[in-house]
Amino acid sequence: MRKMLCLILFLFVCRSTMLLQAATYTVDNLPMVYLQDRTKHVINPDGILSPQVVQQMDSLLYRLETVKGVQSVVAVVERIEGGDCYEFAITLGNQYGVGNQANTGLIILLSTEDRCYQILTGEGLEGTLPDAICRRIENRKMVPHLKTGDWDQAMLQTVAAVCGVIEGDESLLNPGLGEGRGSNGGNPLFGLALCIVVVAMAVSWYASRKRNTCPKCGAYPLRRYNSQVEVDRINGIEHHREYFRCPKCGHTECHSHDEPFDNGTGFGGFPPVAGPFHRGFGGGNFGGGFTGGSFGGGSFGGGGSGGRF
Amino acid sequence: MTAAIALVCMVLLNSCSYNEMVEKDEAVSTAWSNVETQYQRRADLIPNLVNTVKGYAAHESSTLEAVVEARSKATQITIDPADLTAEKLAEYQKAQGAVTSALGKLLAVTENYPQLRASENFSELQAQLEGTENRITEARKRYNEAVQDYNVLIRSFPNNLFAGMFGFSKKEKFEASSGAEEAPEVEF
Repeated sequence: MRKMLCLILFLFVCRSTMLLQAATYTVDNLPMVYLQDRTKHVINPDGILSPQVVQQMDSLLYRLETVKGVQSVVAVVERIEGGDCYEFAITLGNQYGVGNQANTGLIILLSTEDRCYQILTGEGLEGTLPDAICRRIENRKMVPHLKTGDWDQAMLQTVAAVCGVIEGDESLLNPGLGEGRGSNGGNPLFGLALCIVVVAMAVSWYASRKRNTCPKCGAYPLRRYNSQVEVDRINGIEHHREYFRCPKCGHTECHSHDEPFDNGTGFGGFPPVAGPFHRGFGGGNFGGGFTGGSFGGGSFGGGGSGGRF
Repeated sequence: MTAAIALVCMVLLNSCSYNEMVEKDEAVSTAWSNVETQYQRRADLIPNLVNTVKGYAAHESSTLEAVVEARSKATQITIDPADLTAEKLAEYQKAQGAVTSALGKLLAVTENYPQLRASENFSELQAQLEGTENRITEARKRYNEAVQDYNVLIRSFPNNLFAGMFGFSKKEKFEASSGAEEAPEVEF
């Protein structure tokens, strides 16, 4: 019984220390929700923001990534390790590589207990969102609300303003948009299907080249000089025979293969291999909802603006 | 015969990682030019900043002049990345450090002018200045990392035997110096 009590006490102590630790986030233990679900850009582990505002911001930021290729992380926490928003944001950005190939990552961080905030722009985004514009947005949209403790409005208006500026820049385009799928990397299933098609094409090219190469002297291509088709109506099979001759050494070869008998519907000879490809394309789900995102290796050079309130 | 000699040479050069040294040497040059770019960016901001402050605090002329002077001295010094000696780097760092401390004093003086501090123009200029200081810090950090990488390569065995032969010498890093290089602390 005493053992049991000790155990319960121990667990309780463990739990309370865990809670204490959870209030101060490090770059490593901040939950990167985007990696689990690429429609979620807002990190709100302490529940400082209301769910509605988080959802509104998520949809703004998802659209931003789809249309402009700007990968973003918005984090609102009570306390960060070191208490310096700039240091935390730049370490976070460079460690995870927030941003795609164009390096247009964006981080907005608010630490309510450390009373600091930071908008950090990736090196490719500094032209679109210069430091002065970041500061203007902070001065007009963020700080007045921070001073009254209205975290929801401060973050929502900031994100909306930042999105407005970025979407107004016509020179900025999502590099992945050409594929019609928007967001960086596109649908993973589509990528997989593309890979399979490419591999299949390479294999078939290699096989056809090998089939048409003379096994004796290695000359390419062999010349076809005759062919035969034998129809077996009872079993519904066509026996094809093709005769080849090497133009160099005169070696002759016969390639034979069987095909299902074409009964006039036009579908009889359909190669069965097309099945999986069709399934491959059709299976791609739009939006996903549960697909994790991945950061594209962006880097941050210190652009942006931040401050204390 | 000549082909055989050439082949042997290529294998030897490869094994003593000549190409890798070239690669890392180039990385250091790139990182250095980025450092200079960021310092230049700060220098380009100064005239605008000085004019803005002048509009509100004309009689702080000595502080303003100190900034302008430090800037003009610092912009005269540029270093060719192929020639990054310890003395030159120290000289460069000292000149840029003087700009940093002059700017720090200027920003401290602006505390006495609430109208200036309240102006949006000044606030945005200040954001640009802070952003540039951050960029400088980041560029210096990356430069130091590139140098570290390069130095480790050319000083480790057996590369150290060949590095001197091909003219690859150890490069200098930025040192965090006595407060002069600290970014001006700006409180709101």
